Amino acid sequence: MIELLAPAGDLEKLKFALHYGADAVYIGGQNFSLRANAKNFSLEDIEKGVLFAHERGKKVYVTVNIILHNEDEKGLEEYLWNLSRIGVDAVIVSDIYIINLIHDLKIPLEIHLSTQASVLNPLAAKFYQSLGVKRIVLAREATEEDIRNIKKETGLDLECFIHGAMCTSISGRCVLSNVLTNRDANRGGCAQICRWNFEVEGKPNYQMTSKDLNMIPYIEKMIQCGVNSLKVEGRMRGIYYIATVIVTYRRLMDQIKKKTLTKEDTIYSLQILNRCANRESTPQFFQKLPSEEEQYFQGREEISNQDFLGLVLDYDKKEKIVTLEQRNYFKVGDVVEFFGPNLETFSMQIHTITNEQKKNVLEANHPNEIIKMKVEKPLEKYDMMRLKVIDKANIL
Amino acid sequence: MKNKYFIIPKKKEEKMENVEFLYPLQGFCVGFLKEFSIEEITEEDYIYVNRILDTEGILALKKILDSNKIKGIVFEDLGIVELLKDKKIKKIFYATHATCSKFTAQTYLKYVDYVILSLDITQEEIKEIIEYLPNSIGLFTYGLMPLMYSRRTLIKNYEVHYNLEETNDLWIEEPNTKEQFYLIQNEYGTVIYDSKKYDGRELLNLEGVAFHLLNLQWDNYEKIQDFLKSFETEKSLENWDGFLHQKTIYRLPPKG
Repeated sequence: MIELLAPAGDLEKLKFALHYGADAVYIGGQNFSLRANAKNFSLEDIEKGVLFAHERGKKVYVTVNIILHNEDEKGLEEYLWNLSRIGVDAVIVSDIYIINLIHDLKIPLEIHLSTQASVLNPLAAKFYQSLGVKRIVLAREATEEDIRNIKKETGLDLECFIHGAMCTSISGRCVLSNVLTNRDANRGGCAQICRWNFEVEGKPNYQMTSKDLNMIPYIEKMIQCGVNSLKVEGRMRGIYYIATVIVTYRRLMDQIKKKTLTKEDTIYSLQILNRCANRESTPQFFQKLPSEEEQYFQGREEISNQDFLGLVLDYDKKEKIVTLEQRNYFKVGDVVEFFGPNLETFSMQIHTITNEQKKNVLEANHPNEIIKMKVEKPLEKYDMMRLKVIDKANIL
Repeated sequence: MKNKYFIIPKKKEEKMENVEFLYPLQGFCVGFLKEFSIEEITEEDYIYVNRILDTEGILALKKILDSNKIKGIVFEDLGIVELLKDKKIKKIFYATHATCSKFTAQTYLKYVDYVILSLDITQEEIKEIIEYLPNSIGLFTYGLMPLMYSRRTLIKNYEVHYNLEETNDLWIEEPNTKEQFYLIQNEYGTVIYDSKKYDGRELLNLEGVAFHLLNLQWDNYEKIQDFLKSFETEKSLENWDGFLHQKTIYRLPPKG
């Protein structure tokens, strides 16, 4: 089975990711993980997340991908034993000491090598394989040929990023943040200097920001190359982003498996994902070295949108009334779309909105207010309502 | 000279006591003014391979090492450990930003002869590591400090986008801090250096350091001996001491 692997910054996101079709999630604990300033998981939350996932036949991987300084070793061994006791399915590690420690102490934890280790060739993969690594998250710079060769030479489980933000540098090979902000990039404090503007004497301003990664056009090829796990970036992202990205790739992977994927589906998926991320995305390194086309030069060119309108809390099948938690402004007359993991996406025009005081109103303009609306097609809890901006019928 | 040095020179140098010359190998390095072809390298020399190698790269390196003798190699890609398993040459691992603890360094030392510590650690941390692993650790002590390595051709992309004349290096400035950075690129990627030269000569007094690595590619000197003499005896005037006395943080203080 090819795994769809989602990011989860907290327990709520973990549940949404799995509900929307991820086979596994990766999460960070409160120590020893990059994204030090994300909310991250306490041991208690990790335990809850693992239980939730395992009950559904899904997996949880925990990032322990810090580059250690002398002072960081304290508590590490106990933490690893705790992760093992909790029953996490693997740890994602980049520091060789941690790999060695797990191996030497015989801590029953499967080891996945982090992309921070920058593996691009079969010999590097073999080296880590000899240390007991079961899976390698390849460097984002891996080409189709690199992936094929590593798979052929090692037979290791391979995990590749398919979607999300990119470092401009090779992961882990950057301390610009340390110099400019004193925040340690390799211990989770990255200030994303590669997204800043720089001046050049006598020339236009300089920027090196990469566009996002988006592998929609190459998913089938990646599977053929021997990739076992398709990974989405974004532990800091919200539930709407995670739900949209995961359900899009889930459907695409299922269509590939059933051999029903059409060109129309691919284009629609690309448009949905670009809209959802607020910025452009491209396949980056898979088939060629990224050129100026894969970068931004005049700011991030992000267009913020408020497409996420509401979260379904309940649906009364008899009355055909949905109860929604409002997330962004909408009004009577708007054309909206409902999507969910078990739902064929459909659109409709809003005719009525009823607020918590059971009054009919023309607009939903209070954040998180609970409203009710008539919706003919059945919905499930945790389906989502978004503004309709892309019409699949108009593609091709 | 009281210390042992590894020196990255800008031209081929004659053998010197207490000095090993480290030559960036043409086609296998990013971020140098001058690279050296394998024909220029002798069996007395060390080569430097700082690229993260793709499949094609590591196979090309294998071919070179199978048919040429060298004294040793400094490298960042751990595939090279596997490649050199049965070769009797000195192996020195230098991950510019990934060997920051005594525990990590000790683990790498199971597979290589020496480890060069990463650049983003303090003098206190360095001292602790050297005491823990005496005579096994090299230190980068002088030269432009590499701050970022990208596989992308970041200068070319900028110049193509703005239709500028093509170059291989570029100076950029962060407008708020006025910090300047120096970019240098070849077909294998781009390295961003801090514009100020890093000068860690205070580390020369540490006991138990296996060697000091100096990158002299951007220095003007007549004779290396003269440079080293002044490096060992004179105080640094205007250079930068990197992170030696600047501990980085990774958790932001709570807001409010």
